[in-house]
Amino acid sequence: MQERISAMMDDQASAQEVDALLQQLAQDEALGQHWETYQLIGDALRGQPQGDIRARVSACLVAEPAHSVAVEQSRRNRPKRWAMSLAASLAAIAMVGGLALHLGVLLPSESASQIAVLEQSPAAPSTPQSMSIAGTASVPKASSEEPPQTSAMQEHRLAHEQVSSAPMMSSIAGYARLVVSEGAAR
Amino acid sequence: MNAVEQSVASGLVRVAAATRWQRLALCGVFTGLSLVSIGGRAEGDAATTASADAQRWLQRIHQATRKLSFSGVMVYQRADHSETSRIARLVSSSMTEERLESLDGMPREVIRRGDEVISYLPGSQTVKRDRSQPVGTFPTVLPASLSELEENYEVRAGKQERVAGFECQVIELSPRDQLRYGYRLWADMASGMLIKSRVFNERHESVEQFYFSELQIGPVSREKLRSRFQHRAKGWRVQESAVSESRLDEEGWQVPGQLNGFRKRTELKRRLGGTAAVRHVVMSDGLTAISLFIEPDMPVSQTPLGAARQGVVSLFSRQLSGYRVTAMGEAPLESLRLIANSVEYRRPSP
Repeated sequence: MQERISAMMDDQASAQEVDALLQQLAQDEALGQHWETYQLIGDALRGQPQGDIRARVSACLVAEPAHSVAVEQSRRNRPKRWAMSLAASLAAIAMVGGLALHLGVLLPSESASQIAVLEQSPAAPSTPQSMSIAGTASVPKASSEEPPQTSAMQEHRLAHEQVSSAPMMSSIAGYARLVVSEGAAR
Repeated sequence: MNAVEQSVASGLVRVAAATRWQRLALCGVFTGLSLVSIGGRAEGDAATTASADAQRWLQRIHQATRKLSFSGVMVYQRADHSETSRIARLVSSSMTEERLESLDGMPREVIRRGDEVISYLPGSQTVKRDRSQPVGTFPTVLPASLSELEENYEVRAGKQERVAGFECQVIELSPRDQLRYGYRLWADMASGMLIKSRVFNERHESVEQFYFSELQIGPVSREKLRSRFQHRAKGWRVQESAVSESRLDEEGWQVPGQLNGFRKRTELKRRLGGTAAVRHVVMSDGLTAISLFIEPDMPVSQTPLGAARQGVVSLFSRQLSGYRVTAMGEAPLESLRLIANSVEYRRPSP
């Protein structure tokens, strides 16, 4: 099944296979989580915005029992555990999911770059003017007390894109931004 | 002297004007200073002509993007990301239909029929239904606001360049202050269709661009507009946008009608992120729109306080009388901060 999800992500699955997979993803929670994780890896590989990655990792951690321990740690230590969780998750799932071949070279540097930003964010709370959305949203506060920020911001982004008057090819082209955001958010 | 000025102003052949200047200068009528002055005026007039030319181009783009049917592949790029989408658009006398499908990663699809917009998002197994807002879909907003646009941007026709096989006219929209971004547009010389657009930040760095890598202008087959997801989306979560007009002043909110070139366009009320009635004010400077969201400030807040930036979109959020006020848009942070800070609340008298 994981290979089939992998094939779908690589656009190698047929329309029927995609149909069947989507049905199963909707019904099977464990598979749904695999799907989320694949998306996470894919986004990391594509160099997606940090914010989305972090917000989603935050969401994953809320559901993770081990995270309740992390929440007890001091603010100074938390991002490190957080980053370690991210790196471990990415590596473990890459192995399990049969994506290791794809990820092989890229994954270490990609995950390292994510971690670097994660660790920097809480160190600069005195300059809120320049914080990224994700930095403000997820890192300085206990993740268990915060809902995933990205989905909430996505709603605002969507509402804004609908009225945005940036010079686009046509009215629907603005949705390309939304489509990008949705791709990043999942 | 008047004759010379008029001849320059009316755009007569420069050589003739220069000959007159020389003759008049020789006669000692002009001092060197006045020559410089006239020269400057001639340059100004030339700029005015170029600006008028650029404005005609903007109107052509407006007409073309409203009236042309086309299909093609569009690339969206921002600093850290790029995504390719297939887009098709069919304009008939009764309705405009469009379909946009992402070609990278998980397929996602947006279908528009008239003013109804349906997004199929398999990643979250969601169908979003919206009524498109006629507020600011560029370039439909343009004709009414060309003069307003000129107040905030210097509009200039640039050189000609080839993009995706199309010979294009470049149009530059340079901000007149630090409160908005600059734009560069590429329009097909033959049809006026917008082939490419690019956004520049306050440091003149390109922060976002759209362009067609393939484009066929002309009739589009129905097949290209058919949803691939409609039949798959049974059982997916359906989100209705539920937008309505709103009167913020009746509720005690004071939002300036105009600030730094941004004018208030509309006031809406909509469901957002689980909050039933988020107030959404749209402000625009004729080109760029800024959204102002006002919502109850929850203990677990949905938006970060202060300034934030994601790609080309920035936002500034503050607390006010138990509410969260957030300005969001493709504009410099300072612009968003000024707009968010301009909002006041006075409890309405019962």
